[in-house]
Amino acid sequence: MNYETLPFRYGRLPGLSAQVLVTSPVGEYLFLSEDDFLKLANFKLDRTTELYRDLRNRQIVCDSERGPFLRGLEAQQRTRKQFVNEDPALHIFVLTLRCDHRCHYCQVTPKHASERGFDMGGAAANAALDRVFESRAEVLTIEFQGGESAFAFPRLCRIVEAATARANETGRRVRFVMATTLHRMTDDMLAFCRDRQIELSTSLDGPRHVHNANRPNPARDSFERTVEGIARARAICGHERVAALATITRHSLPYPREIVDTYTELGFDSIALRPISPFGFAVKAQEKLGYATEEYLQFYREALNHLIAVNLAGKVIEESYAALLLTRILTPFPTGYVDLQSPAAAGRNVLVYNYDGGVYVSDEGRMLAEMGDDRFRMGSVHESLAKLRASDAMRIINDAGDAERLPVCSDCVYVPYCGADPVFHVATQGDPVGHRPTSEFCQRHTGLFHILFEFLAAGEPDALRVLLSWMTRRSVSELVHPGYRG
Amino acid sequence: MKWRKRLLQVLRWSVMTVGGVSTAALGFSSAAEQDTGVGALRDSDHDRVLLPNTLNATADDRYAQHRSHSSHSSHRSHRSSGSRGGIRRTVPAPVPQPQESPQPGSPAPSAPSTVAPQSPRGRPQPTPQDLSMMVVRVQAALMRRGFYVGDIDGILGPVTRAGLKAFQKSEGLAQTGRMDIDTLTRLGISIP
Amino acid sequence: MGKAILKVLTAEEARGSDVDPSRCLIWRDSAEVPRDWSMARRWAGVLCNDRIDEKESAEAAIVLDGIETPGVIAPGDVVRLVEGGPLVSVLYRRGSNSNTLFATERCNSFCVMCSQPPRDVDDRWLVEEMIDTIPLIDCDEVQLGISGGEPTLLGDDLLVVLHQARRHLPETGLHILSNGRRFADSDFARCVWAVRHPNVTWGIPVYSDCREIHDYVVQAKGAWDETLEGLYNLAKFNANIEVRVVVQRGNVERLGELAYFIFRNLTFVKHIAFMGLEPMGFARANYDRIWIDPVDCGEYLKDAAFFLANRGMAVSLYNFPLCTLPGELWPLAQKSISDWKNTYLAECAVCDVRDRCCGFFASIDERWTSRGIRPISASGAFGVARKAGATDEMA
Repeated sequence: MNYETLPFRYGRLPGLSAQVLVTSPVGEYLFLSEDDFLKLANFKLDRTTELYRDLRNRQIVCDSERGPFLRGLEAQQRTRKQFVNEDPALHIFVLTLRCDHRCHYCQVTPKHASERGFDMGGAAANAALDRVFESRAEVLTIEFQGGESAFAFPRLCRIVEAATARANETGRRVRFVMATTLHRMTDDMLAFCRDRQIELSTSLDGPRHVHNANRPNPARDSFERTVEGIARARAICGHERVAALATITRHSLPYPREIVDTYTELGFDSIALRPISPFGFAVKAQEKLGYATEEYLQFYREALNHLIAVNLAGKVIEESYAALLLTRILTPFPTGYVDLQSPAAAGRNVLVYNYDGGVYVSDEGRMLAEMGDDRFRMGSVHESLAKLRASDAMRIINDAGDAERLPVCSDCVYVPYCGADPVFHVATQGDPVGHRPTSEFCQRHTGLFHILFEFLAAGEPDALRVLLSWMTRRSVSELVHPGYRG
Repeated sequence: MKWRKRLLQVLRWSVMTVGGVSTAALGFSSAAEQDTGVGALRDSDHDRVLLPNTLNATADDRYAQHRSHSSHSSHRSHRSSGSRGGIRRTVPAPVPQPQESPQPGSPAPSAPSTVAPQSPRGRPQPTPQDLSMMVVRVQAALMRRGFYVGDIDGILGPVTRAGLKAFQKSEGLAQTGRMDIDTLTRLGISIP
Repeated sequence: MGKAILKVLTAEEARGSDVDPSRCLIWRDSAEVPRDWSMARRWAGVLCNDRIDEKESAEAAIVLDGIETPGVIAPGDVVRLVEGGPLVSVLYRRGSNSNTLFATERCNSFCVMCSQPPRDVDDRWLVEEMIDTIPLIDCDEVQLGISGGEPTLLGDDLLVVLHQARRHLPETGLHILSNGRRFADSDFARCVWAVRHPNVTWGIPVYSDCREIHDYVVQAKGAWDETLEGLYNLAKFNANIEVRVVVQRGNVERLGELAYFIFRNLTFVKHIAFMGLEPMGFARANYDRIWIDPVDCGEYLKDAAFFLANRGMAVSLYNFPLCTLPGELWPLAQKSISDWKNTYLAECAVCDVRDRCCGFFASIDERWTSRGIRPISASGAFGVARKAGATDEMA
């Protein structure tokens, strides 16, 4: 035989005529002309051409008696999927459901600041810490979520102190992240965060009119208080300790540039343009805040173009989801983002400890339980990791968590870069596998991959340098030359 | 095609690890094939090479040393120097074992052809250094045959002796744990 | 053939040294007999640039005097004396940046641009020589090369050499040039690892992502597969690996693809060196097949080097004179040519960046000279370097 093919996948991008994208089983890719693609598929490629050699380099074809370069394939696959052998690194503590905001898109059903019975108790917190330290992950991350974590700050302090002590005793490394609006954070509380090196993650949805429309608080001054909180937190804890993410609602859609500009004006070097979630309040508010995936993608494309221009003009700011996807496309390295993995990382690399002592595979799994479907409850904080891992919840995740085997996904050209999200599909479609053509998860990710691959195909050097700077976490000016385009 | 099955194992490794798929679903039908499938993968876990993440490695100068030493190649004689006077033996060398030295005692004329610098290395008695090198060879030979997994350190310690005994047993030799001629021969080591 | 490997030391240093006195060749500045000659009977001999009166040196076993080229041998060096031969070979030179032990003349590859063509000879005596030389090398030596030929052809003898180096020179980094093919045998890689030398770097060439091109360059079918298998087996044991790419006509066009291949499959490699040709050995005979003017490599080098450097891999350029390289690449170019075969051309006399340029191999001649050779003026170079974001100060 002339040559053999590996199980490659292919697809055509809507914005790119007469080119076919081909991806290898471990995500190496090449664009081919329609003509060359037909030759490839019909085993008619000339083996002496550079194109053929490029395809062989990317493990799409092979011609050796030994087959493809299996050592390389194995190293890449193991590197990308190594997380399946790892214990949970991310431990989310839902300290309280109390909150003073009534955000329309909120994923939680918030309780009033004075309500009782919605805070994590000492016994549950201690048991949860047992689970954290049962994990053998190299670096443990404890993330505090709510509600507004500031309402449960004494509990947070005790958990941080206890975790730090246990880490020091056992020589482990623990990071702390606190999700907070910052409004309720006093200088003393911030000083504690500084001393314990707690990273602060806040919500900033854009300029005043967008932010306040998305995130109403009683005084209708959420934007001002958030900006004030960011400044104070930076002054006390340090500039780099404060991060923010933007949730994109219908209100946000007309303002991609303004949202980006708000971030650069406030001195952020990273922005996350997070789509609205179909959980919790958001489902009820879908009419008011929701949008078609196509509208989000249009927004995202405009924001990305603006971000590239801003970076070329000398400001350093990345879009963190693009950086994540590019790392998955352009490198053999694993990414730690638990919501986009295959096999799905929910319950395996992340655990969510609810205020009431329930353990869930993910934050979304917990919200689903709030809505009456507790199939993603793994068990209680008082059960061992092994027992939690053997739960029915994990069986659902494992059965529907391998994107490479899911219907439609298995043939998708983007599947090497994508993930499976059984929890999302239960929430939106009532089934862990779900129906791809109507899946928002699928539409959104396919669209995002389209956008990024259009940039890669166009090969515009300046845009590439910016995207590369996000992936490599270097400034554009450090990238003297973009290098080979592959 | 043999490699296709192996490729499938490589690509399906993560799912098999997770336990989300039975080996039957991978097309392994017989029990024997299941063995070569999952079993082989478990074995190769020891062989796994992971690719370290290089992104945003700070521009360090780890290789400054190598850079200054980048283009060496052999230069056995490039700085050889002739000696007008030549090398002269003037008296018998006061070093051990002077058996090889020619014409002891006769002062040599200063012609280069006459001279023999004394070899400082003794021949008959193995020095500790020679012994240690022999142990290195034995340890390597044992390791290659699966009888030794320790460090190759040139020390004939209990682990190496145990390896020797195990090897001797498998060869039907007396289990002395010593590096005797028979054992060395079976290990493919020639005695200098 | 009788021979001796000896350490040249001054009497003063020899007295304070750990070196076996019987391996010391005592350096004498002048014919004058030192007062304190009490150790003479324990030392191997005496070496002097001047003539030594035979009566005066009667105490010494070996007398080496009347050196033809003074300055070649100096205290600290390790030399080989051969019975019946007039030559003193310097095996180790204190202070040199390129000390290398020569392992064998044999090789299992036959590279078209080899500067040190292999010979199929029985040269096992070289192993003995390395074993004898290692204990005499200064123990604070930073780095020692091992080269050939193909050192891994020594098989278990290489383990003995590594063991010897580990015992006597634990602080000295070893830099071993190998084609890596022997490491396709995983057991051999395991044995090398088990010696536990703390500081070995393997310099291993991968000439192309493309099997056919690599096999052509090394003139051995199947070599690419063996070398790649070897790299993975070394990586399995966490070996320190440097990939060396001699850039030539046959592989230059796919240099970017090679960089891509390395990044996708070989990020355990600690350093990648793209190297210019050395006009020696087979290279001279194969001029027509391998020569490409470095000036014509610039774009390919930029593509490959920055592809890797941007992604956090350490990249160097060896043997490329600065005037033949685009300015962006200057920060990656190293002064790579070993001191003893390094030269500069007439143009270099007025060049302002000579001090940071690798210069040329002494074997250079007209047809191996790039058309890009020219002196760089400080002002011009400064402009280029600035553009490249270089922070080095100019001379």
